[in-house]
Amino acid sequence: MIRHLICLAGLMALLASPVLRAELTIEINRGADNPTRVAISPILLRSGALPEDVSSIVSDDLQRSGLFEPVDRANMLSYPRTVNEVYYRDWRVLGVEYLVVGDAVRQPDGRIDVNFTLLEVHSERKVFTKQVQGYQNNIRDIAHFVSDRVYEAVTGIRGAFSTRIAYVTAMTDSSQSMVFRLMVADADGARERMLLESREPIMSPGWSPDGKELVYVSFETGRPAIFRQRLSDASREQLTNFQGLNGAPSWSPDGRQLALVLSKDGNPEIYLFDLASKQFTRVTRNFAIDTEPNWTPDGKSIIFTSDRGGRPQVYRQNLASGNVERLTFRGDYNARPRLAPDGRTMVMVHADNGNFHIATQDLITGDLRVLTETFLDESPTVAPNGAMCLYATKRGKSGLLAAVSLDAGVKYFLPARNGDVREPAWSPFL
Amino acid sequence: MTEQFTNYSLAALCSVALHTLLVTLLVVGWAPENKPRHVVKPRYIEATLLQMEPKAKSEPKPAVDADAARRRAEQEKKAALEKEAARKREIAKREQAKKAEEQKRKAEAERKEKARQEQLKKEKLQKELAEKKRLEEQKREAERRKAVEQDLASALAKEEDFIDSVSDQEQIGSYSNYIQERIENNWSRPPSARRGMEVILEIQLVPTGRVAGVAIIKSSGNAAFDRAAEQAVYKVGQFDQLKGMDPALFEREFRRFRMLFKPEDLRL
Amino acid sequence: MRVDSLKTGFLVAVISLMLAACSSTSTQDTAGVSTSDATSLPSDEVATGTVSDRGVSGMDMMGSDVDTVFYFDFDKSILKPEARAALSIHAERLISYPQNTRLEGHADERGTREYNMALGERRAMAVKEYLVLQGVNPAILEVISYGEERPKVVDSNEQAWALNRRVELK
Repeated sequence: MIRHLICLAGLMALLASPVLRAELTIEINRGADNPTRVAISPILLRSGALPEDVSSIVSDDLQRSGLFEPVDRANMLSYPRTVNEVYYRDWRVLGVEYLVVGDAVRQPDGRIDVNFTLLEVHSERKVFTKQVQGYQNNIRDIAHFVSDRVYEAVTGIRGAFSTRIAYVTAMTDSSQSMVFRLMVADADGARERMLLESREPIMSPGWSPDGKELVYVSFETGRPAIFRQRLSDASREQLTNFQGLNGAPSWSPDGRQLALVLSKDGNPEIYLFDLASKQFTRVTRNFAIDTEPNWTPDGKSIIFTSDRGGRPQVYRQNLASGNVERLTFRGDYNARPRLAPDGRTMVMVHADNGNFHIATQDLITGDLRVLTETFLDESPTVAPNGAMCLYATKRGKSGLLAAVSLDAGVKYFLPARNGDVREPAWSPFL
Repeated sequence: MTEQFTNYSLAALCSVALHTLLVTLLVVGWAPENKPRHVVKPRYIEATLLQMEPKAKSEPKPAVDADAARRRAEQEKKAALEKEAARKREIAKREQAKKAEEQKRKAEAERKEKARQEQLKKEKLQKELAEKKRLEEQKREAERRKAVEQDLASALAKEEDFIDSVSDQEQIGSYSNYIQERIENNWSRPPSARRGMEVILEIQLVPTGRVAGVAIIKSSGNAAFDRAAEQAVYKVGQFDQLKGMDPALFEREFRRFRMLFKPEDLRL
Repeated sequence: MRVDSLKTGFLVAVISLMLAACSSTSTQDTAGVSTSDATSLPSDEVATGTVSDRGVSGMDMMGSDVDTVFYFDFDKSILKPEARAALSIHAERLISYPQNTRLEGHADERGTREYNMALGERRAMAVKEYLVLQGVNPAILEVISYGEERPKVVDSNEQAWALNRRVELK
């Protein structure tokens, strides 16, 4: 009887719904935004071993982004290398949403080809299959390539795992005097290399937009001077040699100019320096301190620090019109602004009551948000994909690098090193 | 005295018959109104499915590792607390409803009792009246009783009708809230998600509440955003509380329905 | 007492600087660097520059019994009264016996590095202007700022910061 009724009801519903009834629509307006559970099955050579563990590097990359939660290899029930070897049930029980399988093949000439596939576990669908080629000595590049592609497919944002960071270290040597070093490493801190060593301060490293050169300030001549240096062959050139400050170089988005600070005319002013003609153009005219210039992504304006209002605050000056506009109003110290690639999110050093932290300010809404709660935070630098910000902070007596996502949801420290690590600068996409 | 009882048992029988007819009609799906049901962002938290699910069981926890489990446990704890609060509210509501019903029943009984007393009085009078008037009286009495009966029946029918339509809407609302809550707790928006993005999915369920199919009806244009919405549904996988749903309601509303993913709490 | 300890500290600093400069030829060796594109500065460039500049003027100033380090408040470049008194004596000597003098401005570690460079310069400029006002020939005065790059005391507390916000005459 009941079954009959149900059948009848079902029939009626079927008959009724398409014509008479609008379909039920449930609206979802909020989310939990938990990290996506992902598994990277070991990517190995069929015979022989790779010098680095590709899957672990990929797992670490994704984990560090804060947007993924990679499954520990020890918990995997199988290690598939190809789509055909995948038993989706094995991954569903682990709660895995995305699975990466891959295979490495060494060619006769020593080249290593890695084929990798991203799979959606629940729907058992393939998202993509890609190939990357490398050699024994750049397995980490292969791994970061895989990370970038997986990250982009799942997040919709280009991955920045194949980028680099530059920074300065300072430590006392055996004779108790300071040694300054300009360093470059992968974005994950690995493969650290020294570009320059000096007993006089090195400061303010910045990247050329093509990622092939650095500009920085070195006191090696006894006073500050701005240098450019090519990464590939270490060739370098001194660009400025004025009385007073020669500082805060910032490469223009088109690569043709530097914005920099000179105090040759009495107090710190921002100038443009044309790299081809070697000509200087003065930008600011003010009795106050004007420093720490940074270009807007369109190359039309400079944002900078000035204490023309009594305290350091951030201003923006249009290069064509010369119009100046104050951008920051909250807090008694806002300085060293950097713009995220969207040209809208500004990161800077922000202090209220003497606590220096990294903050973002939305240049459209004006919303200010303090991202960090560490001690004496400074030198924020944004990844080229705008997801993370690297900055320098203090722990005890020494400085180290830390990272925070621009939504403040992810925070981590880069591995501590000997001495003081400071002034990180994130490279553009390479 | 006995005679009066027989009289009333007849009325009761009539009433029961009418009710049975009504209920049958309802079960068979006699729904005169066919208004479009667009459940628009029910914002109040309500996991009120107690009347159909006396033993609302806790959802089985997916096998996850410690970190995610902690995070999810926190959320689930929060959800559980909210659910608990909602449940308490619901119990209170139910009790109130019961009380109201009881009062109504009592009132009705009183009314009937009064009528009976009146009847007795009238009978005393009738006995005093001449025998020839008796038949006439009886006839009139029968007519009156019939009228009262009809009144009562129509009132009851109206009431049933009202209760039914309200509870139908309420049920859809609470099941929708439950589904919404489960999805929101499992939706991880990609960082490329922006306010104003919308993806519409069509979800297919089987009566156990298990997800049988997910399809994109209208894409947001951002593949990662679309995928994240689908993943949220797959991640839930099973809407346990739908198991106890009235099958007709399930067929009508939940075998196939849509979900609109439209973030409103994002910064950008 | 404080002056003495500062002077001693200064002496130690100068000597260690000189030692460091002398030994730099050996320590600044590229041999230790494995990567091909790492560079080290030519050691003579750094070493000679430092020694000739610092050694001479710094040692001469040490001969005086007057303060050669002047302190400032946070984010300020205003000379304190005691600094003015000492600087007046320096001015008299520099007028009588002109010699090239470096005014090195410093800041504490709070705030941004390039802003602190500007702040250190502003402090050193304040000293220079005061000396010039007393009649010292500006041509013999060189202002240089180290910002927060060369702290006197490496620590993160009020005492350390107070000692690091300074201008040194050398």
